[in-house]
Amino acid sequence: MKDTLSVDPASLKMLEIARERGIETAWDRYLAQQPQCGFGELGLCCRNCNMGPCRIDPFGDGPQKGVCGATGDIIVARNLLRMIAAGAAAHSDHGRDVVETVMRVATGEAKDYAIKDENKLKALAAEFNINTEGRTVKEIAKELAEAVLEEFGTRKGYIQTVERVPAKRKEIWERLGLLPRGIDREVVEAMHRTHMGVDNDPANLILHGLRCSISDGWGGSLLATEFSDVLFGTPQPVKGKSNLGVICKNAVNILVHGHEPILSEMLVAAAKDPELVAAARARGADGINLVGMCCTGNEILMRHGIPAAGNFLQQELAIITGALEAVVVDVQCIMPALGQLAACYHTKFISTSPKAKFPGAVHVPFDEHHALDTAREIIRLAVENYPNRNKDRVFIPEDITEYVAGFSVEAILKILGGTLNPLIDAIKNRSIRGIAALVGCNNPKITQDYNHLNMVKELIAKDVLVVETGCAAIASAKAGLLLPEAAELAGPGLAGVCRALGIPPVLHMGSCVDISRILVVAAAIAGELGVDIADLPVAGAAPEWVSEKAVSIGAYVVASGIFTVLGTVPAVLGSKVVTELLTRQAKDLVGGYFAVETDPFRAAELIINHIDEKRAALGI
Amino acid sequence: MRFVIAGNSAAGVAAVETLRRLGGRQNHITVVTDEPGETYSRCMLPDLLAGKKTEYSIRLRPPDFYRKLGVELLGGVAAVALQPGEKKLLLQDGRELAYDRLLVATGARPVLPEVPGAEARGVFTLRTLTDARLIASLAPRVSRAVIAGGGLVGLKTAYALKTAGLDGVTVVVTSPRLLIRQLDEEAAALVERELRSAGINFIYNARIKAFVTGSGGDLAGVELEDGRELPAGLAVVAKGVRPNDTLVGEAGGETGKGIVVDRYLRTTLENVYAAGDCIQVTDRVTAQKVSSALWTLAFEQGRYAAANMLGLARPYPAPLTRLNSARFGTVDVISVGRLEGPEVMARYDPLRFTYRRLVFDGERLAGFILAGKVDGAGVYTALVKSGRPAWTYRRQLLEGRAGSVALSNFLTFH
Amino acid sequence: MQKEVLINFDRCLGCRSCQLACAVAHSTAGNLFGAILNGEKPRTRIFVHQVGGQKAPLNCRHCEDAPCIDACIAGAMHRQEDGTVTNVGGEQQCTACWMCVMVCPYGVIRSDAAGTMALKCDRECRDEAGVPACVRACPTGALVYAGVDEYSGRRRVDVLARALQQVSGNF
Repeated sequence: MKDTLSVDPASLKMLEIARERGIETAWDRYLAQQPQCGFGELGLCCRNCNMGPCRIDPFGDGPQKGVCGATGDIIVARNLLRMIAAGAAAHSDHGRDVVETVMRVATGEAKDYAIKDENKLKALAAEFNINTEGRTVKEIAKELAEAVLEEFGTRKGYIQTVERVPAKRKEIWERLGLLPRGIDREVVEAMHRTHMGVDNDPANLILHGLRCSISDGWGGSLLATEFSDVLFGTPQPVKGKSNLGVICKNAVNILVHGHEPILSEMLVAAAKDPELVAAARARGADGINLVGMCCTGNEILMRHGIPAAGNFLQQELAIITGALEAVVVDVQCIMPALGQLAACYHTKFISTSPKAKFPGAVHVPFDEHHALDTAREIIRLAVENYPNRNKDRVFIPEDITEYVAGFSVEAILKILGGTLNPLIDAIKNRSIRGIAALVGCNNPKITQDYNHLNMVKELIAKDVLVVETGCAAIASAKAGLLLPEAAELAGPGLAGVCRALGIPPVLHMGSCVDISRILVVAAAIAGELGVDIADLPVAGAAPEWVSEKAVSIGAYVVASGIFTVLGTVPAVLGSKVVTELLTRQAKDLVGGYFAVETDPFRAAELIINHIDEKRAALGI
Repeated sequence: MRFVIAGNSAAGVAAVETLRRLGGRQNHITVVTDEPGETYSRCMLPDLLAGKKTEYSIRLRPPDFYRKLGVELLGGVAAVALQPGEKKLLLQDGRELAYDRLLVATGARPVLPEVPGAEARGVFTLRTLTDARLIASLAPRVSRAVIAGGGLVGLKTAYALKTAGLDGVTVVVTSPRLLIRQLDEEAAALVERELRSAGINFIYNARIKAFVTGSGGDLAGVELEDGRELPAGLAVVAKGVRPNDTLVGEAGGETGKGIVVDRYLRTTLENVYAAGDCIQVTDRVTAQKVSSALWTLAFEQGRYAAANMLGLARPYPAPLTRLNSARFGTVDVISVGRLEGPEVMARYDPLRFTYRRLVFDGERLAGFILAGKVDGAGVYTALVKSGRPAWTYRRQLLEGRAGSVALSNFLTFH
Repeated sequence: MQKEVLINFDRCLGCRSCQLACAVAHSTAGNLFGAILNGEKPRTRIFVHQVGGQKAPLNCRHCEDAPCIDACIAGAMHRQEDGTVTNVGGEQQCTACWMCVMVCPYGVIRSDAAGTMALKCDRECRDEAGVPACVRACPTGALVYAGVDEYSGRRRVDVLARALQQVSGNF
């Protein structure tokens, strides 16, 4: 499937416009980068010290050791660990921001926010052994936030939330020394170990990579999810619209892009401000149209049904419509290309996080203390920009697809009648053959959405329930796979379950930090059955992954015992030792392991075979 | 124009190809050779003995080579006399070949020791395909062989016979060590170690007194001057070669260490050119007159001679006449130019199992030896050949970093 | 007009991408991941060297009077119609005598891993457009595949003069 850049009709139309207007996109830059460095592709270059840079000849012809003596195995392992550390850091830092916001709500500093899900707050308080009896929500929230912020550098052995895994899983982690001792610590230690002359044992490095990733998946990411729910409400099924067609021709269009919900929640509120709406109308617009992109988009679509304009590779295409008054970004997966591109249009590119500044952006610093005011200011900038729009340069593809999203664990339980048993029964009686979690990004190495959609279709047709987060979920939204009607594409077993419950065969569970929701469900099912997560007929896949966050995700999913198929090749093939460790030995160590399969049909087959194998082992 | 070429090895083949390439197809070309059959690679005869190559695979050119080039080949008939006045070459079978230009590329013949029994059945030299066939047919029926001569041909032959399965292979060397004309002591020791580990024996400082025959005139052994007797069913004498210069010499042409030629490779006889092992050349480094006797030189001389025969006036630059490459097991050896000189530096590189020796004469690299791994040797050869200042590169050269030297040269001289 | 791999010396960053691409192009799999997964050990025929601060790739110049062709005792080294000098695909087989290694002034002929034949740039790596793998792999345009005349002679001189200054400054 190399002959087309995307299977998304809206993307293809916008790429045509880009070509006509001589505008470059990530696809062009990807081509310009060809050929990409083979040493890098194999993970065989090291820049960790200034005796280097060094690279290892993968064919045994040239140098086999760096200046310090590091072999290809060591270099590949160190590089992988650094990727995991970066990914874990990104998720966890996002998590900390959310927890800190809860703290400021408790102290009254962040007056524009409120605790929306008190039940979840109390449940978390109980988990952290915090007394809730006779205390106010703010009191509980303050103590809980303090306890949780402590988790980032805890000295009490290991982080609290790993207690959520089944006993068997915890035993494995304990035996292998994988229990994370504090979220920040594992990242810091990863950076220490990969410093020149520290850890030079590939297996030891990779094992720490798993520990570091667990501190993300069962730590930072999980806390990001839980505290977002506390702050903004736990998602419930919600209907919405997706794809670039959600950009309105006659409205002030504001694209929210990035990852954290803290800012975007306020923008949602501010966009409804009658004064601002009136200002928009005064300038000839029908109103204010907030649309989402990537995971910030996912956060607000889950909770408010805000339209999702698209996934990762559509961020530039949205600007090329010429109809965006502002692109507002926080952190992660925001292409620095947006500044120059926005300058080709009237679009204002507004950065908000002190951590993430961009060339060509207007920086409007956002902090929780004046959240709504800042959000209003941003919306105002967009509204005032509306008259600058050049109507001749507007092209909005008409593609719009509806979706149902918001399948948090709590929502799923509610649908199932309060317990997981109906789901477990469906798995046992093979109506549902297994569960596959499809996550991750878009990558210009792969025809956009092609791997995602084909894997999903293959899997649901074989009665595998698919759960998704992140850009994978948006791909399904745009293809209509997040609608209950998509059940007709599912096998008879899964279709029956979907019809009975009124759910789609593909469940949107949130943003990429929300993969923790998937883990929590898996742990709960395992707990219910009295087995380990590794025994379940479940699998993971990142069919078009890009980011270091995805590397961390892959690592913690595998460390949690789940077989994971990668659709783009990770930079590890330069080391046979590391490759074997990840694709074979990991199975014996942690139950989960990796496979790399760039063909979505064969990837689906791998997952189905794995599910059947696990079913057989469970005797179901 | 009628061109006649006497000789069908490196110089002859190169000349034929060049005559056609530069001169087109209108000229008439005849090649005459005393050897039967097709042209082959003489240097690969030991591989044939060893069983590593077949006669088919040592062909130098495909069977239809001459037909395709429109060249007449008279095989198995020697040229016996030359009448430069009449521009005629007389053949063994009485035929006369008229020419406008003649190229003498008659090569060289091996030296045979003047000791008793040298004519015995089982005593050979290894110069021609016929020699190789004879040795190969006898080898399976004997268990012991003696090689006289510790030079390249002798050692390659010894190694080949060992590889072919002979039990005892002994090399009798006049000098105190092997390859005395090609290598220094250390490099020679590397080669010796490799050959000994292959099971070959060496006797140094020894001369053959006689070849001893048994009943029926077959070789039974070799008697050394010190009285020792070595039983052997097969002996190969590899004591060097002499140029085949009599054709020119008897016709009144000048000869020395071979046929004397000028810079256009013309002999002193009108319309007669010469190239290859039969000529005398002036060494580029030592300025001494020596026999040419190298495959590479024969090839390039053949090309130059042909160009000159076509009237293109291409002066042949003084060649490097010490230019040897050989491999013994895992040890590759290349030796070029002078072995000794005012400044000698040598080092064994244990990481690359390679010995390197450099001989400098002032700024100039006058010679070198590489033994072990020889990648990049051509960079050293180019320095010896060009005479460019090389002293500044001595460290890189000694450490085997030929590539950076090549790059410097490339940057400097292109 | 015959094309050559020309070297734009001031552009080489020493990344060795050309070496890797050359090796991969001479692997059975024909692609990097495939060759790695097959456990192949293909060898490069282009070499990045450093002289002082100058880095540059060097590969076969396919010389007009190629000394390696003269030197080849097996008759394997030959020139193809397009000017390519190679020891494969001809009438005879390479015998690993290293005569070509001995005479190549650029040091760009080497032995294979097993020491059973000489390896050199054979241009068996060209794509549909006829461009060699090393040129395609070069991210900076340090390698150019062009006819010598197409490539501005003046530019070459400039580049070389600059390179020469650097080189001479470093010895």
